[in-house]
Amino acid sequence: MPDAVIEISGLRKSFRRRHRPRRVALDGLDLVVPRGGVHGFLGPNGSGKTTTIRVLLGLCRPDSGRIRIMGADVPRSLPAVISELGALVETPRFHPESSGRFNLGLLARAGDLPPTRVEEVLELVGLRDRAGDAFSGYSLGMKQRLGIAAALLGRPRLVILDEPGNGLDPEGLRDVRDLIRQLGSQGHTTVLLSSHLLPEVQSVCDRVSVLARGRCVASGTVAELLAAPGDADLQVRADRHDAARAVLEDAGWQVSAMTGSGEPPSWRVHAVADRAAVTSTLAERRIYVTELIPLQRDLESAYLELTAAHSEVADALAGQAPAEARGRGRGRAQGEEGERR
Amino acid sequence: MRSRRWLRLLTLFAVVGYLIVIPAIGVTQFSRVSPQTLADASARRDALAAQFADRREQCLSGPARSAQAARLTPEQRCPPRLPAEELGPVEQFLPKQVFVPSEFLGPVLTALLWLTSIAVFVVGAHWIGSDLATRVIVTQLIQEPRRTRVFVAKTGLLAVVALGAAVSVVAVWTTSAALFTAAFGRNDLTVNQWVSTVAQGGRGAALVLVSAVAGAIGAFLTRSAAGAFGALVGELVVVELLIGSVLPRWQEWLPGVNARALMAQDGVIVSYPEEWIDLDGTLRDTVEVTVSSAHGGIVLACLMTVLVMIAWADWRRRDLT
Repeated sequence: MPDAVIEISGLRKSFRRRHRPRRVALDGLDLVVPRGGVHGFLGPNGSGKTTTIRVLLGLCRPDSGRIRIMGADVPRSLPAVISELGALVETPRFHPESSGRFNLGLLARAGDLPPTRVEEVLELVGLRDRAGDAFSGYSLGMKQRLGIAAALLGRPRLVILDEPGNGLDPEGLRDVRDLIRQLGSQGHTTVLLSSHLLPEVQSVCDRVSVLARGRCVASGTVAELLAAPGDADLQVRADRHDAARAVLEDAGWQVSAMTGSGEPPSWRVHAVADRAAVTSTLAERRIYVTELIPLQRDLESAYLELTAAHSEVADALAGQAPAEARGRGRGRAQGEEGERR
Repeated sequence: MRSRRWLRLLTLFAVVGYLIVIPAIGVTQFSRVSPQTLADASARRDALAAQFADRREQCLSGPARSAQAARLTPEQRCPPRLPAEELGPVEQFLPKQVFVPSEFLGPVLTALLWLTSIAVFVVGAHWIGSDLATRVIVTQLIQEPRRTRVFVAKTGLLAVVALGAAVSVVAVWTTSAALFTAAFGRNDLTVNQWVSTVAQGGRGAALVLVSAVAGAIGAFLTRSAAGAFGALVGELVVVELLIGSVLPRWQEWLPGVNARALMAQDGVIVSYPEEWIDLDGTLRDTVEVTVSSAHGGIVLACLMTVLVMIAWADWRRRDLT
């Protein structure tokens, strides 16, 4: 992809463990981050998000695979593009006894940046008033802000932020969200945002990639992920309330009660590929639908389905298939897995 | 920099300690040398010489105190004439000793350079160790991903600081010695002794450099300052003692022995039990090997080169998780 800031293909990374088999953190990861906007990077703990970021920044050496950042092969040509790259990896680390301003000053000097830039980024992250305090005295939120300031120091074209919302209070979260949105909308900067705060990702990101077990299981715009064809949930209300649930479950759908949906309560039927199938199944048993509403998925549901499905598939392939395996998501992920292999 | 406050404290202690301890030693241990004090000392020497002369006169004019003494002439049985000049230089009769550079300059310089070596080891290990332990290094590598460059910059800066410290110590002590000489002594240094002092300073600077790099390399390899200190103690206490007792022939290759040899002008002598016959045909039971300062310098340089290469190779490939 010519207009991509990050291109990763077949990336593998495993870590040695004492007296145990190597732990595979990235298992043939393919990822493309297009230029511009904010790209969300989602995945459960241990899915390989931070390892990917560390490999991108040259902090870890990949076992195999190809990585390109702004056209430069990483890690070989990383120094050529590092000046256009800013990053915050997990909790920011600075010299604890030195002030925030001093720490940024050191980095600015190392990057041949003018001292005025330090004040600019301090202002940008709202830390100017406390910039003279020792880093060790900062709250976690202030440390995050300083880390973001360090990432923005060199006016980078690509900013990689790993959980920037960690430790921030609601006001701080809002400020960081605004800042990220602002950066992404400028056109100059692409932001790769790794976060477990799904509402934040949904509200800030233009595109999202979902990782599970070291692989990218879905990638696209947020709208595409939410509107994955055929697997929307349905709100169903029928005249014979309890019988309707039993029939739907017998037919293989996963059904749960919807709270606050009035009396009689309605059912949520998960991951329905064909709405007509629901009505016809119920009609065959002489149960008549009084209400059928397609439910808009949120990113959280989509994310949970994607990652859970992938984990189950991986377990199954490893001979650890759980006894119960139902739902379309699983079948779809199995298909994907089959294609990959 | 967690170590910054600690390093500042260390420097403060060194400077204040030096500024207090050295003048205190000067005032309490040495006498000021002035025409008046020299005249007083000369008078004390003359008085002592006069006492000796009186005793001699009494002895010469008095009777012998034993039958054995009576068989000798008075000149034979009495103490010899002892003029004041033969009682020793006039400085010996000052209330306290005189600062003589040939006696004090070298040993004190050696001691100070040993202390500096220990200090720079601590500084090197602490600096690199704290960067690795606190993961500040990650922030730095995001700015500068060329690890070799980071390695060279950090080690190089440390080497420059260590050399600066060694040169400062030599300069400060020689200046202090010159002041001491002016205030409390007499300059008896020959050109050869000056050359020897400069050479000692150079060898000491080399040891300080090796020590600083060793501290940094220890921290790079063990990933913490504590690890570097542990490695040093383990090497000096366990490895050297063990090899000294189990494989005594290898002593001349031990870092501790070579460090001592480097600092000593004539090197050090290591010995181990072994029977051999010398050129005269005498059976000897101990072998003595002189480890010269050049030998010490070369061995330490080779050892440091190997360690630096290992640390560099490890640093280049290490995953920073």
